[in-house]
Amino acid sequence: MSALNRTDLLALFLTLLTVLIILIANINNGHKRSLQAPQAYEDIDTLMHRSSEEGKSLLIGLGEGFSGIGSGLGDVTGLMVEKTLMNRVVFNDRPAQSFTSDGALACISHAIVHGAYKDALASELFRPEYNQLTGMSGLSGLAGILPELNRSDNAGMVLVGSFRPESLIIADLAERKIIPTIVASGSLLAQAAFFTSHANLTLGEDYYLPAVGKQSYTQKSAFIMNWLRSLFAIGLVLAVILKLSGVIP
Amino acid sequence: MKDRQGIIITAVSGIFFLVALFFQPRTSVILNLVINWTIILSSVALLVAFVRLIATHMRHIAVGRRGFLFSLVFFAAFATTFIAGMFMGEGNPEYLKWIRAVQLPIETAVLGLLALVLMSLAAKVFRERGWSVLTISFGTSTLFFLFLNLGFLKFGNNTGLDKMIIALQRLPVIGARGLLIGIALGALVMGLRVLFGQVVENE
Amino acid sequence: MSDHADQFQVCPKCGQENAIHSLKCIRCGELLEDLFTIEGLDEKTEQNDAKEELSAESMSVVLDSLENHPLLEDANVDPLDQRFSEEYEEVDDPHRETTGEIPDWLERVRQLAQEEDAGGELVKGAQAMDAKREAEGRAQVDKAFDEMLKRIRDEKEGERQKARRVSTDLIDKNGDPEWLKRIRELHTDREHDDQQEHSPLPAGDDLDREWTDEELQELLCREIGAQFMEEQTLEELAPISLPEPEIPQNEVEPEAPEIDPDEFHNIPEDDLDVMPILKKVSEEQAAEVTEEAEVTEEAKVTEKVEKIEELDSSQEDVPDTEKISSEDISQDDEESDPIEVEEEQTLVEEQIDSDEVSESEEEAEEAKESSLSEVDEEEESQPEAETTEEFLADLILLRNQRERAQVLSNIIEQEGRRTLSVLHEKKRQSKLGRLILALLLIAGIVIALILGPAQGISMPESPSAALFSEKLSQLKSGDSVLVILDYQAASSTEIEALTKPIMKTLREKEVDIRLVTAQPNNLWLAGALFDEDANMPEVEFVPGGILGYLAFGLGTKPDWGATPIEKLVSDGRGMFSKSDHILLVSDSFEFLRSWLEQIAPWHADVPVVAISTGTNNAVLLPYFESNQLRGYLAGLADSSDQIAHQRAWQVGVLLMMIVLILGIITKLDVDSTHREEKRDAEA
Repeated sequence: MSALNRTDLLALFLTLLTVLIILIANINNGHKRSLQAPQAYEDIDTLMHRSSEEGKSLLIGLGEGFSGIGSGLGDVTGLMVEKTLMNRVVFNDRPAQSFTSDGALACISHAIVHGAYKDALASELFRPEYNQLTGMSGLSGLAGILPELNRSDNAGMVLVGSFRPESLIIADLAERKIIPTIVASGSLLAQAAFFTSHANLTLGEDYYLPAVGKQSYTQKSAFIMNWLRSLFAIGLVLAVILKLSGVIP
Repeated sequence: MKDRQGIIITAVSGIFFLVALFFQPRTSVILNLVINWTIILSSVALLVAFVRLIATHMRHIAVGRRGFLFSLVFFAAFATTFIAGMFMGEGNPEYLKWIRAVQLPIETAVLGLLALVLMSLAAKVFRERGWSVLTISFGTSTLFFLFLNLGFLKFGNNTGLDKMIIALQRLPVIGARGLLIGIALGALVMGLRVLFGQVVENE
Repeated sequence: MSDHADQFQVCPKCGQENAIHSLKCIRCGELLEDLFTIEGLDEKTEQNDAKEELSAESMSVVLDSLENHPLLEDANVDPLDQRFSEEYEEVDDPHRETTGEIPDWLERVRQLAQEEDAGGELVKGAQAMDAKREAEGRAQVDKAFDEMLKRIRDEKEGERQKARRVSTDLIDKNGDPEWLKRIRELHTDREHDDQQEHSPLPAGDDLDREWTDEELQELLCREIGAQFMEEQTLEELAPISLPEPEIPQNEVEPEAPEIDPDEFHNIPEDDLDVMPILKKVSEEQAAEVTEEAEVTEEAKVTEKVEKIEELDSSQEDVPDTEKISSEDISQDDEESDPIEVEEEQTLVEEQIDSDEVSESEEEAEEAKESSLSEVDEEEESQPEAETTEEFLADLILLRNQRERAQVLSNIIEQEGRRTLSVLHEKKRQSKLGRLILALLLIAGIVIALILGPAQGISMPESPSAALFSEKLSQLKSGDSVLVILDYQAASSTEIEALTKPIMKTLREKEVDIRLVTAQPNNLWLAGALFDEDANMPEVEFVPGGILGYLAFGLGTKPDWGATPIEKLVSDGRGMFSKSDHILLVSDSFEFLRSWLEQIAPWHADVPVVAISTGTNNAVLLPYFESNQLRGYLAGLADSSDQIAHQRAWQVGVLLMMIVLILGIITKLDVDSTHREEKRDAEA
């Protein structure tokens, strides 16, 4: 591979364009109009409050993709949400528990949870079993979450990360146990599967707007993505016009 | 800021990898090394997480936590598989057949359960979500494409119906492409913002 | 005590004479505890009709004497004492120059002072402080004395009243009413003035002798209203302010009704025993009213007597008095003897007095009766009034409390409840419906498998499947195909159904197959892809998942040696460089997407085809359309020889469609029912 091919050049162009829009978004701090955050992430706030009020625990599922050992390369959205959640539910009557099907994700999640307790000067309250690896693969991870969901002292369930369509069984059990569930996944199939359930979920790229915690992050991300989408749409339309007109062979 | 060090390390390593990715073959060796380190770290992390999983279940057994019997089953299955693999070898065909014989029916049953769950949820999806553009389009498209894929309609004769069906079959492609582009953009934006140290913070 | 107001008490330490009531010696500050006594206290308690009791008059006399005491006030100091004090100051003030000879006694005193007062300035300062404190505390002390004496007096009076009430009627043997007796007892100092009190009243205004209706009404209102007023202390209730223009200060103040402050409080319904107390209070108030009426009458009579005396001295108002008393008094001649006139005057005055007294007595009795009747009415209406007052009091006093208590109980009830909007909370589902669906599905599939038609279903071939077949057909002997396995046991049936024929075809074409997997599952699942008798190629394990493939897809081998993953996988880089085709066998869209987006761009010249489950059919189309995927098989529909499976698949899909339609119909039915109910409710 000696030279950058067309795909590389396109990727580079997209990256630079995104960087530029990010810088513009950072400079232009005051938005005249605030964009609505995804409802699912706002419901996570409600779920947090409920778990505090009821004195029950919150279950957090982080999915299976991060290190690539599983199905694919994941992202840090779930970890961001977990960090915000843990900082707020540290002193709940029952601690929040997180589950994952990826080893690296489990270790990082452990560090995040421990850090949350440390920041709250409550390291003595931390227990290693507050976040655990439930399985080595997607289905085994699913099998590990179901018994935890079956307990009676759960206030709600938050699934954030890369999930399979088979994870719909989690939502079904949660519905039968009358446990509110919020699903935020970047996997299209998981979104389609969870759409039939009672869970609040994010559709499309709303997954990348974690509106839990600092809302300015979400607003800026939404602003950047709107701009990128608009530019993409304009580019595609232009390309179609040029193609149809014969400019592009 | 407490996370400053972590953010700096993340940003530096991410930018380095990105630059190395674009400036091959000069950075190929470094890229190779970095990826190897990542694989080793991920594998070790997996081992650590797995050991913690074993320890957690053993703690459940020791404490007598509710459901500790399942932890017993887990530990027994793990121990048996591990010891058998150590003695018989992971390439032993009998060993592999034995594992497959246990794993296959269990996972297949889970998929069957999933089918059942999907069916029951399909009966309630409109009661759950109500009437909206999204739910109506969902129901309509599901019924249409399920019927289409049943194979009851034969096409390929270049009739008007065939053309219409072919055109309609491209709708999922359009939707999927749009979603994939959006998800890709979202992942790109998030990744770059992480590189710049902009993460979700507590209010 | 008042009788001994002029007595001193001598300090045991320095010999200084102090007032009888002083707590500390004014000179040395020594506490004079032992000398503090209340004279007459024990004596009075033994006597029922004691006339030697403490009186406010005597107390006030004592106070006056104290205030005017030469020891405490420089202005009124005797010359002897003044000289003594000067000499004392002279002794204490070392800076003061002595003029003239110093008397011996002064020297002795100075010596004594120096000997005794070792502290010097300290004692002087303490003494000055004490003097200051004394001056400040004098008022408090006096007040304390006052209250104590008053309390003692009240208690005694109360006991006497009780005894009298129990033993005697209202009118004693002399014909004097009870209240008159009490008044007389109270005014013991004015025994010598009794004659004046009983002397015939001078001619005066009729209005002065009688309580007006307005005054009586006002008094009654004041008395009755005082029972239910909040934050009224005993002292406020007791002394009813009466006009006392010329009553000397040493007169006895009207007694306060005997109400225990601990018993009386402002929340009637909290006190279950309020009735007897109210009765008692009302009786006492009534008695007080009569007493006050009598007192005022007496005061007025006294005034008139004094006036008469003055007049007598001048003998100018005799005819006037005679005129005034013309109704009841037989008048003598104007030229009668002065003595006779005096006698007549006294007789007239006595008659007038008795008449007035009787009138006042009648009025007082009337007032008393009215007050008593009012009290009775109050008592009768008290149950009703009590309820209404209870309600009022409830409303006024307890409403806030009740509201607060209600709020608090609501808050406590909310404990553990969901106070936020519920996120899709539903009722528990019945398991029967699910069981029926399951049975329906199983029955349909089994019937389709068993009783279905024998011939295959001609499923339309999708473009992706067509291209996949085309690519497969283009392979020839000696080509190498990299087969990446990444599926789980759950989907192995579907994957194997699609992959096994392909593997067989490739074996038949003598294509070199390299099996690689990053999933441990596939180590024991890959065997099902080949026939048992076939020579199955070795399954190579690549650690790290997608990163492992990326490690071989990107970068170059360093000159100094091999990396760990290169040591583990032999000729790992040859996976891409030596392969003509790459076949991805995966049930995970995420893996396929990661490969197509992360790895495939670095080896764009190697065509990629895929075998996946039917769920990934729609999402793989964009990659197929963009030529990133040269062809793929997704689901049993793309399989050519899996007839039974296809039939079962069709039945399953049909059942799913039926259930979906049933769900739509159910929803429509529920909506129409709700609309009807709403319409009925509105109607």
